[in-house]
Amino acid sequence: MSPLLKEYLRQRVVIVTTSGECFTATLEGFDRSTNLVLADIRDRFASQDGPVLSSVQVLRGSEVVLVGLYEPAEGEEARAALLGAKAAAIHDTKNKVDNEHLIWKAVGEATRHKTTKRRKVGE
Amino acid sequence: MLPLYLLTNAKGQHVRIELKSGEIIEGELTNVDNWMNVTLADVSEYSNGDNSAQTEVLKSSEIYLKGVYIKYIKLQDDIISTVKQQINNNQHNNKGGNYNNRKYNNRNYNNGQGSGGRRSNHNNSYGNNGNRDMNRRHNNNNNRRSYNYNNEHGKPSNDGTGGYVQHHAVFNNDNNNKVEF
Repeated sequence: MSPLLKEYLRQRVVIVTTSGECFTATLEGFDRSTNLVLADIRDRFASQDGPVLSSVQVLRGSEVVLVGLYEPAEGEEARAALLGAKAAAIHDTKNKVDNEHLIWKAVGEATRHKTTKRRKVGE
Repeated sequence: MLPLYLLTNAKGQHVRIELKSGEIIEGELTNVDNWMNVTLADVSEYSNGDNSAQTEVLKSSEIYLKGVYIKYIKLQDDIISTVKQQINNNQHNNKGGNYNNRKYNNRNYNNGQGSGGRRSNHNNSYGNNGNRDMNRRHNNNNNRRSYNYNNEHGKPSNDGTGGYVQHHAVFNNDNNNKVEF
């Protein structure tokens, strides 16, 4: 069974993008590259009548991380809990490490140091 | 509704495109192709740093933008209803002859019987009521090209669903002209 988004058509879905953005929208269409046609886009963590970020848009498939069915929180307490929750922000998919070049430089020095040691022992 | 189909029908409309780099391009969509490469007319380009820091960087009469570099395309609010109306008008006009809705009848991806159901071989049967199960194929030669080329190519599908969505054969369009997806 191939996982087509056909099941989600015309329903409210939650989308996470590669930039770490999370919003809900109505899925109007899709294709094999997961390019999506979305309507009525709102922020995920705003209330149901939250501001509409965008009315209709085409979202490029390469930007999509996940698409899931949106289930609005049932009941007062659940909704309050959701709105009050301080979830950590979703990261983007880039895995960027600050000053990565310095880390690699240190790694290089450490390994260089190791090899010289070994040679001395061998003699 | 297929994204590319929607875009093809959005030609002439004003769109707002965000690029992977974060820049925003606004212009009138003149053309789209299968890879979502677009040409726009009357273009303004903004460097984006939230709406407040938007500065217009460039203005050009025409621009060609590669599809891979697009993050998203914002369209006019009413576009979906406009396009669906167009589809309905087309279907109403093609009332008699458009039962063979599948455009890609003869492509076989060597997948075997139960493959995804995206492309299914339809014989020249004008009532496809029996084929509710997308994975079933009427043809018995599953992985071989069908040679009934002429017969199976009815009018290509006009409704932008690309064969994903099974159409119940609607014989009478008088009740409602709504497209059944």
